[in-house]
Amino acid sequence: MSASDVLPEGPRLTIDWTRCTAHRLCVEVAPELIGVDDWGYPVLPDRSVPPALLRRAEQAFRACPVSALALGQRESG
Amino acid sequence: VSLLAPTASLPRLLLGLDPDAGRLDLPGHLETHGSLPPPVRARRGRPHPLLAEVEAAGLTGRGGAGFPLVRKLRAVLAAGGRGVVVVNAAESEPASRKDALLATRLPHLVLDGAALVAEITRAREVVVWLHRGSAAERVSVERAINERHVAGYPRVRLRVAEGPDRYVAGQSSAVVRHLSGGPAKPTTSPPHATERGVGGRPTLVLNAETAAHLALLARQGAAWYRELGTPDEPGTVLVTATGAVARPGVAELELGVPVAQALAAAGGARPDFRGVLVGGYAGGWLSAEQVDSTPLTAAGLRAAGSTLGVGLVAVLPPERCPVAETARLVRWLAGESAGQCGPCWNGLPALADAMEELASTGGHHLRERLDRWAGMVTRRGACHHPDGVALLVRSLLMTFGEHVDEHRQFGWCGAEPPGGWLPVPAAEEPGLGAWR
Repeated sequence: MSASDVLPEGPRLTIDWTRCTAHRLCVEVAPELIGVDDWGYPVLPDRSVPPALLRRAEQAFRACPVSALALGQRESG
Repeated sequence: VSLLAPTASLPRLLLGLDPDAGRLDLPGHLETHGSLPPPVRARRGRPHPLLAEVEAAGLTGRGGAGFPLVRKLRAVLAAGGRGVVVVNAAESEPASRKDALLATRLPHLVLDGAALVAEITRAREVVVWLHRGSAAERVSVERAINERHVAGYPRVRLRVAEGPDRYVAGQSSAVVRHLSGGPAKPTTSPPHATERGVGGRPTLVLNAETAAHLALLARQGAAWYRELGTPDEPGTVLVTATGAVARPGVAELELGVPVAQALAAAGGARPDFRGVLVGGYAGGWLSAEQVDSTPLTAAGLRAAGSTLGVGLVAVLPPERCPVAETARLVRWLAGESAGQCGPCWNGLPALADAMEELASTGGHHLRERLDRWAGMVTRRGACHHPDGVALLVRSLLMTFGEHVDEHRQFGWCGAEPPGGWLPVPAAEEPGLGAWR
């Protein structure tokens, strides 16, 4: 999967780790995008969201019960 | 704090500081370094002339992250300036002594630099951040503030603030949160402190050593600053050499010299030393051979799997085990998590468990497990605390791979039990007060 190579400016999923409490609703909604670590916390893709999965990413963003997820341009640095 | 003998074209920061003499008071400071250039009224649309000097000099932060100072200055100015300057002299690294040396012996160098940052950014206030209970630092800094006041040398309002002695409380967002009335725990960024810091005002947090370098740069200029160091990393750096060296203490070294010079400045390491931990407790191991081949620069140390960090160089003596010592440090660092971010709160104790298992009973699965969990905590927190622990663990696997394999197979290697090499502060009583 190299959609991010084509569209490097696409939006990214980011997380506020101080908010996330591992509800894992984002993982349920978007398993193609979001994995889970050994402690139950989501693992986000380290690249921008491919256009084909943008809707999924939006659904994951809306599913988070504590508003820990964000979907937007990652600021540089 | 003991002071080590400098080399040839040095010292800069440590100029005028006799190993046997005490603190440089204001007259001593001015005699040694001269006065600051007269203040420039910064106006909108016309940048302060020092801004270009800071950029040309390439001065980077010395609190661990190595961020270019000019970028922080520009960010605060872009946010409107007129905010707060926080100079961090609290030194959260337990074995580092450079900031303590600056605060207790060279407070005016630090205050000069902080006042200059305030002048450039039109800040209203400078806060000197110290750990609660660091009496010698507080007495020295408050005396210095008073000396400046009496001499009519008060470019800006200066005050001391104290926070809890916790490892991650030294991260700039934690300092800002504490000064805004909260616990001294890191916050998620953005917003950065430069935009929205203490009390919502633009805030520039810089390390005490960074401020001290700025104090000299303002007097001598960027060309002078670049006379030492490498083109990419000019200037000098304070290092704390400790462990198996003849005379542990703080030295000023030119950036780019081999790491071995830190050992030489401390009277030499024991000839059979096993390796060095560089940067801090959340730093990276180098083998004894790498000490000669690795340059003391951020880039050189990064390429070697370590970090310049706060300039700690801790020499491991032959009778001690790098696995057991790393396990001890990882356990302590795990206890220093602010407990805000799941991967850190869960991952660091898991790493500590695996490290202790490796040190004591061994197990073939442990290399893969440590590597996996080191990856799983990296860049997955509000601050860089877990990244530093991952660096420490990974550098152990890389630098002492053979010894790690012996531990996997046989467990405890018969070395001295850990405990006497590097100081590890007693665990804080859990409770509401611990972060206030």
